[in-house]
Amino acid sequence: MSDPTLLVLASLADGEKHGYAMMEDIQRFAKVRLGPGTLYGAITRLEQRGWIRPVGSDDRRRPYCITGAGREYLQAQLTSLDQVLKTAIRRLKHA
Amino acid sequence: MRQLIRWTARLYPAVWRERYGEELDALIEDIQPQWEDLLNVLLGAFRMQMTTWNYVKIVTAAALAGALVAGVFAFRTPERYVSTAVMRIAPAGQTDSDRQKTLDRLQQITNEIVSRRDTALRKALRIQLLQTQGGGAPAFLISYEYPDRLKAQAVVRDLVSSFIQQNVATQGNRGSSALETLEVLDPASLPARPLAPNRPIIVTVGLFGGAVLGLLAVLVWRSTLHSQKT
Repeated sequence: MSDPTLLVLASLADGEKHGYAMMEDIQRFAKVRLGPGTLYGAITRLEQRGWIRPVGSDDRRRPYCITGAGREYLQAQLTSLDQVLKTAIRRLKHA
Repeated sequence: MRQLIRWTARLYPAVWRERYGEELDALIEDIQPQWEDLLNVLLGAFRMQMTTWNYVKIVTAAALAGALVAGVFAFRTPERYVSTAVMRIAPAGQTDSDRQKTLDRLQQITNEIVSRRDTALRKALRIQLLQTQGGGAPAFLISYEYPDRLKAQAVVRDLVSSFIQQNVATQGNRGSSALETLEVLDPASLPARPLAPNRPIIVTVGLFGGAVLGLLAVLVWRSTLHSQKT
């Protein structure tokens, strides 16, 4: 799983985070280092689609949280991914 | 490095920078910047520009970039000048046989002259028999291509002299009474303009090539974005 939008949504699924916290979190759980350009490209797209929103803050490090629509989208993607994984694992066992 | 990434971040569209600029700046402050981050921010800025620019702006930018690349190529390519001279060899007699003999001798003289030159010169040298109407005296063109126009002219001038000397020498050796006359119709020219590269044409091709590539890129890019949204 290397889609930056899914990684950002997965990172925000357990609570709000700012850019650097997301980067660190993603590196920890997915072993993927998103560059600043990639991360903010994903944040821009996700905010435009209404899947994340900024949390009111005066700090330059503005935190974001996942929206209801974002959670639904993430759930749908993970279900689909889960099916692919289960199928692949089953087929590998029988091969 | 951090400062370099900050400068690169200014390539993002102004509207985007107004909204996310401070956050990106804070992120750059927090990370241990690497060369990959610089490239990543550069690509991010390019992608963001592509999504905010309209078709006309993208195609115009691509056309200008194409013209720039073509211009650099055109001006880095050395100029090639061609100097030419035309000579005529009049057969000793009027019959077809005399004419054929003259052509054979011309071929012989040419081979002797060319064989004495180095390979580089031989590659850039062209000796071409010109069509003569009504079976008149055969005329031939000597041309030489070189980056220096004065050198090109000097080489052709030297070749013309060699033809004359070789003609006299070989006829003297033969002891023939019926001599072929070799005359210079056009002396070695001093080329005013280079034959290549044709810079205006190259830049024009770059301009239109860039525009077409830009249009294709934007169509592919937008269709990819559209498929991601749906």
